[in-house]
Amino acid sequence: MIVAFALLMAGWSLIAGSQPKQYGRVFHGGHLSGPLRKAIRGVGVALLLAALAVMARSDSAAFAVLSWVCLLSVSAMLVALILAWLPRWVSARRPQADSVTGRRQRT
Amino acid sequence: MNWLHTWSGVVLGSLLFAIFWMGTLSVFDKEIDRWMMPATRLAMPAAFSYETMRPAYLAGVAAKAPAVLLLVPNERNPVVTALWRNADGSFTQRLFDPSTGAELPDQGTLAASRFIYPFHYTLNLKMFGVGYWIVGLCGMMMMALCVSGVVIHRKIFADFFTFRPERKVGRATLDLHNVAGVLGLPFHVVISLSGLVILFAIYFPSSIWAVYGKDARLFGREAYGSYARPPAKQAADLISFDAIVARAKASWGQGEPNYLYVFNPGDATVYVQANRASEDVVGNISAVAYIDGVSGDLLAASKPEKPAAVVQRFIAGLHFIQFRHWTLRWLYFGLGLAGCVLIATGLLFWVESRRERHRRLGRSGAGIVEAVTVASVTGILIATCCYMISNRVLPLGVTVLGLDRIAIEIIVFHLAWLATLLHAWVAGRKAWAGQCMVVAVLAASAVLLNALTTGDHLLKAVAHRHSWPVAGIDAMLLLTAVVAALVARRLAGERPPERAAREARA
Repeated sequence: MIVAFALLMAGWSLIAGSQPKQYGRVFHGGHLSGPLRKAIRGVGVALLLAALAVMARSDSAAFAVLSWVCLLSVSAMLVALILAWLPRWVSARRPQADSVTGRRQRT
Repeated sequence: MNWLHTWSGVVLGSLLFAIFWMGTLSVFDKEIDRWMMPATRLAMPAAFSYETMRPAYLAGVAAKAPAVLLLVPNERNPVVTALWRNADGSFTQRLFDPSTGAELPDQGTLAASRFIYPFHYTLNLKMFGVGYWIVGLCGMMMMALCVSGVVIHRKIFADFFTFRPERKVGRATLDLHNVAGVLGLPFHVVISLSGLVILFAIYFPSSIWAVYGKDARLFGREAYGSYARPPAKQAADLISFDAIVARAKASWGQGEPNYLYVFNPGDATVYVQANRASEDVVGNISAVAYIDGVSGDLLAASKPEKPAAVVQRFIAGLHFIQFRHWTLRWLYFGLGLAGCVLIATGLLFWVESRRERHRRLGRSGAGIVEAVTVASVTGILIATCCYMISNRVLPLGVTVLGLDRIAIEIIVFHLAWLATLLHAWVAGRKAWAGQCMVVAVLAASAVLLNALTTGDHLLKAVAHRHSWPVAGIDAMLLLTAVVAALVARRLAGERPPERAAREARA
């Protein structure tokens, strides 16, 4: 179940990251090319389906599908909540990271 | 669609919130029962003998009950429960220890199984079955709200994960409403549909009437199988419960019973209806066996169900969650809370987007809806906490003005709820912060009172496996207290929109 949950979180994160709106929010106007966006989205969907396969190995078919659908919703909500505060965390850490690497001084 | 979504949401939102809130609590109804009935915080014996249920049966015989329903104890409900209807139509419930069969003291409460759970599907309005119809209407409208919500959502995929808490209250509320609604859509639709499917005989009786006329009993006999015989008026002893269960299990294969219904107790024609528990399957299966209570012979057994009944049972099982699956139970709880967030944010968005305009025009609509929304959201949380606190404060057997403990707890719940409505009406927008702080104080007090009155404080409850339900409820109450306090602090620090607008103009 933990493995399935991790796969779902990773899958949704990739799907969210492939959306220009979310990518731009986290990486401050960053841009992904079309093919890369599609590839990331494809990997995300594959991870969501892989979670179902993992759950089907440890539970009966009915329980596996029901748990997967419920966990699909809960993990997507968690990704949405993380994304809500991620831009702020990234912004808060950026100057510090820049000062560590010395990038700010060079510019 | 926009009009339908807005107005059905505003009109039925408060009722829907109450139904979702009580349904969400009902996911852990047995655990709340343990919290509110300290004498039932028992460990299941390693090897349970069904013969331990005999004292419970004999209590029904002594009361001259025409039939005694005996609920088989399990991990979540480790007590033998005996229920019967008295000659005056009232019900009696008695509890027994699953290890010794000894009767437990009357706990004087309806707890969750008999108050919170029935509230979920009847609002506890039993007269003429009006509660069923109101809840059915709300369930149908919830599905209409889900469909219309998807239709009116302009950027459903682009905004799939969009929640911007840093934006203005109205925008952030709408984001949260969309996230809770879109990402939880499968759950919201299935839970509303399955709620209606469970009570199909009430909401869609025309098909039954078409085939069976008005004889609903005939439908019940054919659909679920049943057996009945009149008493012989001759005394006889019931054979061993273990033998009865063994005979029943032989008829339905694997699986333990969840209840034994003894008809004509103490009579020579005594017979037992045994029903297989649905712990290991999603569907709410119906496998029933009727055993002769004197000879031990199989009198009747349910036949394999037809496809339509199998589908109905599966959909009903999705809603009832009688299966033993803790991950799914917690997921249902989380998604139930998401449903509460969805409904509350929908109401809040309506209020936020109209408050200023209604104030300017001297209209009272937004004010009324806000007061009702506060009472339905934070108000029902306060009422639930008061219900639990009264359970820990009132001594067993207490009566006040002729009212017993059960009645007092229910009155406390409803009076507290009414008080939150009055407070919301008087305090206006400030009621949110005030009531959130009250929720925080009450939830923390409930945990403290449980520790003081039972000695089962959180650390002690965590240390013993059979007390984990109590530890879980305490932990959830503490989490509620922390979240409510944080929300109250955030709301108290916010400037009212009209003041913010004035400052911006200045």
